[in-house]
Amino acid sequence: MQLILFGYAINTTPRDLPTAVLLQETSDVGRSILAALQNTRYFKVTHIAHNAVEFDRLLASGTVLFAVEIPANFERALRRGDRPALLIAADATDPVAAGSALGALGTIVTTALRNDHAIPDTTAPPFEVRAHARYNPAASTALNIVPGLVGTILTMTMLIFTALSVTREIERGTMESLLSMPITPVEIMLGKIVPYVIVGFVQAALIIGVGVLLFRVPILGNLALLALLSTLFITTNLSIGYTFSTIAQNQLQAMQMSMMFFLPNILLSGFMFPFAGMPNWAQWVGEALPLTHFIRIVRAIMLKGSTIEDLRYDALILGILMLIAMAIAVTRFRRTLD
Amino acid sequence: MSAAGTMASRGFWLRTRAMLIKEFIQLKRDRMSFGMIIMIP
Repeated sequence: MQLILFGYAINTTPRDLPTAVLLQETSDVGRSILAALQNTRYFKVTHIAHNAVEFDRLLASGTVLFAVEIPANFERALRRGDRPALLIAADATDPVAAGSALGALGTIVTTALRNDHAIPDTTAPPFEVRAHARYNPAASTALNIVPGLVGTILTMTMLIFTALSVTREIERGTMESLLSMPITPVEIMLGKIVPYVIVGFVQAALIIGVGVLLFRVPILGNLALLALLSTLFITTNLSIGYTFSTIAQNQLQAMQMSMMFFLPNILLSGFMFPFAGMPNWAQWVGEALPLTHFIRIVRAIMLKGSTIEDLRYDALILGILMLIAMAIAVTRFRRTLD
Repeated sequence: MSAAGTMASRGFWLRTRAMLIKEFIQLKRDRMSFGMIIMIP
């Protein structure tokens, strides 16, 4: 199942990357460029921005990965041979997704304008593509990987901690005494989860601290917001791990379930491969994974300085996933050893 | 809140606290796992 899932889902050459266009003039050339972007497999024009504020907001909120601006008087400057600039701003928090599309833009636009006879068939394009790699101007891989690693390591460790918690009690023979006590499944679950929330918090602080000191990863956003949403993510993973523990019969089964869940988290969350480059069905699977949302949150807070307004969707999904996992765990918890 | 409700709420927190203490003691005894918590990141 995993072979088929990942074989079809993973795509190292991202396509259909969400793009916004800001047309500062209404002209044939502008329409040619817009049509060229819409026809290409690299970009998918999802938004038409109406002003510079909207242009910036779409990029900052992560709604689009690219924003192309055709400036005012572009056509006139082009026909006069003034070599006007076509502006493209890319969300470079994921340099892999941004790189190939940025490289292709100049060729795409030049070919489209030549085909529409808007520019002469000369060797050098009569305009300049001015690319702004926002949030990671040097396209440093460390700025992309380190925030992602916070989520990946937390997923791995938190899942395993609680996935083994109930099955370990059964295998050690201590579950019998726990069940004989007047304690409810909710109380057992909270008692199992809360200590590891503290452990997870220490781990997150360690990874972020080392990332900042060693790899010079900035934290542009609010540290308290990062801590709060990290705690939500840690609790979500602990709840999912605990759910596995209530379903599994022994520690080996619990470990296998954790691995079955961990692998899609790594491959379909946007940590290793660009999320926007995956097919739609794989993106839907990815949306159901906590790591997808946490990677967006941690990259946005650290690299973009995003606020809770920008991140409310991802925070809400994390909260919903946590509640679903807790509800399943409490329902599945067996009051007997049979 | 009624007296029965207060008692039930107090019982909930007492039992959860007892579970927490038990888990912390287990974690403290398991030095290997504790070391891994620090070393894995």
